[in-house]
Amino acid sequence: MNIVAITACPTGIAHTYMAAEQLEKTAKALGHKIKVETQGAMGIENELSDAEIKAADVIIFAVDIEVEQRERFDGRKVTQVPVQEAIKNPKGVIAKAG
Amino acid sequence: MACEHRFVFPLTNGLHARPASCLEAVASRFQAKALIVNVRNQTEADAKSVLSLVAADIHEGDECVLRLEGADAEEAFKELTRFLGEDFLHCDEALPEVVAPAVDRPLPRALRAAGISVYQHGTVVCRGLAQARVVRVGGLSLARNFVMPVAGAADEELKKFGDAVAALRADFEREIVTAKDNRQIEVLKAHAAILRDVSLAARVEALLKEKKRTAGDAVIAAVEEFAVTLRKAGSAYLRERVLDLQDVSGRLLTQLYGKAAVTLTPVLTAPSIVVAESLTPGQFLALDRGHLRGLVLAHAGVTSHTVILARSFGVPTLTGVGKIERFTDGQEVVLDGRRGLLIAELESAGRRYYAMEMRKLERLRQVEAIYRDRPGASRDGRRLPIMANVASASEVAAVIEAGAEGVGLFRTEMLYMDRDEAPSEEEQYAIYADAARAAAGRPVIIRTIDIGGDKPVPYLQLPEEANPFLGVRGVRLYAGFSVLVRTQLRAILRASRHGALKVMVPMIASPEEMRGFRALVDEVRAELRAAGEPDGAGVSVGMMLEVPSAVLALAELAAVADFFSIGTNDLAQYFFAADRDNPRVSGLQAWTNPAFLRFLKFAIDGAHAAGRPIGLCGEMGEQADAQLLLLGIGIDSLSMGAPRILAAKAGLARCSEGECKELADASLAGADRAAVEKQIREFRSAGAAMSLISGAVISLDSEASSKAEVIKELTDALALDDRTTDAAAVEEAVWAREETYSTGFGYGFAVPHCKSAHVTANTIAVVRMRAGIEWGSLDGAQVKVAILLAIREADQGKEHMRIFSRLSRLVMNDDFRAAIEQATAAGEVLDLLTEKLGLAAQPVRA
Repeated sequence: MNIVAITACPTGIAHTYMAAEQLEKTAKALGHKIKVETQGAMGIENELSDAEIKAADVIIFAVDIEVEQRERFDGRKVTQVPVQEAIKNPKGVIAKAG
Repeated sequence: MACEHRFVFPLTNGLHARPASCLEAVASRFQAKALIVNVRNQTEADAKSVLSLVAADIHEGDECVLRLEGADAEEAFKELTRFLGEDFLHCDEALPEVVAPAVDRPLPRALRAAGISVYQHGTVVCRGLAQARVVRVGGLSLARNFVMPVAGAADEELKKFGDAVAALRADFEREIVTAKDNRQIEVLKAHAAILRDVSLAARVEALLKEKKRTAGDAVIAAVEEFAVTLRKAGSAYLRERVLDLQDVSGRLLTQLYGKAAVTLTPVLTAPSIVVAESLTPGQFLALDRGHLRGLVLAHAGVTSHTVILARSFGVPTLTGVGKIERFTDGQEVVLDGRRGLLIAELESAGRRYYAMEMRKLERLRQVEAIYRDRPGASRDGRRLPIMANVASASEVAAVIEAGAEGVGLFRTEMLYMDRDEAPSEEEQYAIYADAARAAAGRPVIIRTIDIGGDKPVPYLQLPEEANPFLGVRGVRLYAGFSVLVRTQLRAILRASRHGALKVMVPMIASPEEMRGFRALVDEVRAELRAAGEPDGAGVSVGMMLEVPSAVLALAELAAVADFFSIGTNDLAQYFFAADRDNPRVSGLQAWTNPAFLRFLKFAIDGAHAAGRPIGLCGEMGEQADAQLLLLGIGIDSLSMGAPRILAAKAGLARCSEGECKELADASLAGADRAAVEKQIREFRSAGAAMSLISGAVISLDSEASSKAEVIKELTDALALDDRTTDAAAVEEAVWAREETYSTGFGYGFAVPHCKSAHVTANTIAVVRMRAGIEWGSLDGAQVKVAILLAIREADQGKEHMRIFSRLSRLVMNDDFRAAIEQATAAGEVLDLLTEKLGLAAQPVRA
């Protein structure tokens, strides 16, 4: 499965990256391909391109705040969960999305 | 036959003393019993007693009933209802301004988490922390060694009381006639009314008949009863009337038993936090400072002399504290002189919290203490002596203890205030000699009397001026008070042989004034010589630089002044044409305005060109940022309130002269105030080139027993390692983040974090607890390791943020966590983090 995801927590200092780490580790362990864009205190990192989004089978938003440049995902199905859920149960989140 | 009249109370300010006395005046004309009932709070008041009426706490809009009974009830009814409908409406007046108690803001989250719930806010006027028992002052105390005579029979005591009342009444009448000050007359009239009040007399009589007691005891008991009611009143104004009651009873007791009988200041016998509505400087000085741990005042202006004294002695002090009657004698309280709180009924979580706070403050004090005996100087050795401002000789020893290198300003006004006549030459000689000796060879600059129409010195009978700040004040007064000034100068010059005294004159606006003052000093010296007395020949004579016109006449002034001291408080007011006490314009006179900085530089350059030293003694000198700028523009010395001295020396020691000059040059060239403030901010962040983590912020053996304690331990570690100037603010920011959702993400780890303007150096701090802590974690399990991420707000670079994100990812790794859980020394954790996060051995500039 080709997964793209965005993580964004309120302060943008810790949980954004913790969730990204969890999703990446878990997806890879399950044999999926994944790219996670983080929206944190440093701004947008590892930005998802239109091509990458188009090629994705599954889109996950693990966010507590509004996603920046959300227009990129117009017309696509998105699975949205709180950041905490991605940290606590990344496997479940991926299963839910897939 | 009873007559009743229902009405709605019409006056905006409620039934306070003035309308109450108007009503009383009408009701007392009749024999009938007259009652006013406040339906809202179910109190009945005797309309012929002002005290009783005021104590009924009647507000605008309250439903009231006027009830009359007796012989001329009908007549009384007609008159009173007419009065209430017409004349009474004109009896109101604006209530006098009372310093509003600090509004009850919500408690900081950290304190809520520590279980604090009983508290009052106040304004911090002297920082610090105190934990002790309340001693209420302002209640009437009989003097310690006064022995009340044995009580006689009830009518004997009643007669004594009656005689005392009559004598006091006569005194009041005399004083009202001779008083010049309108306010004083108002106060005397109010006191006379209390004295006349039938409720007071009736109560005293009842108490005397009730059981055998002296007139004095009856007065004290009666007054306390009324005080209890007034203290509960809704308005601060009514609560203040308790002071009036106590004043009157104090005078009655003096009439009954003589002056030695009464004291308004109890003796402290154990660590105490004194709580009072207000305190005179005399009362403050009478308190045993060995036992005085803190001071809480319901009312006191920030510039009140009592507050100035408390600061010099480093007594943590709060003012503007509302509902002060909640705190009773003997109650254990905490005075938090950082957050501005008086706290009672602490439970164990609260106690532990404040025990931690005490320990932290102690350690910070120890760090600062090394500067006590060190001269003020920049990192590279450019000297900047830091001296203290005082208002009495008794403060001098204390300020030297606090690190002062001398007294840069001894304000002498307090010596002349709150008394009936000016202090004599001998009295002053003793005071200046004491100050000189206490300073042990360090300079003491005595400023000659600096008063104007706005300062309360009634015996001088200064004419009222429309504009006292621009009127006859400071040196301008001296021509009319020649004897006063000569007396002061004689005392200073004679006392000079006990130490290193200097004389400084206020409000000089032109060279002629300074020449005149100099000539006066020379005359006084000649007089002393002629009488065979020491003439203080070595005493320097300098001047305050506070009038703008003087700044542009420095060359001429330098010919007759030995030194200058910039009084920025008044100088800024005159310079910007803005009153610092007027909140609508006080923001206009900011010292960060480049025009003001250029003006100061001009003054400093001018003084130096003429070979004269120039210092600064205004409040600006207490600000850490200003201190660096002032060093950069060449000031020779600073003088400030004692509590600020060690921090000043510590702050200076961190910067080089070059850095200060750079900052000064950039600021002088600033386009406006915002530009200067930006320069300062950038200077500060550039300066904090500390490494992200250090052994000092890693603790592997914490005994913290709650989340509140862990967060406190983390933020305190920042403070102790110089990574924040405000641990409480960072703590609050961390708690604010916790409110969104818990930072305990599982596995027994938590990552509390915050972004705060109060963080001066980005930090990763680690605490590993001995026992698991409830953290509200995602997986519900307890937390044993907390890693704090604290980042500055205005951060330019992203280097540190990148490191933080790397750390956030690392904590999701089992091996990484295990390594921290098993580490046996802080150094191991430090190495681990340094390696895994790619931290250079050198400090990283973000």
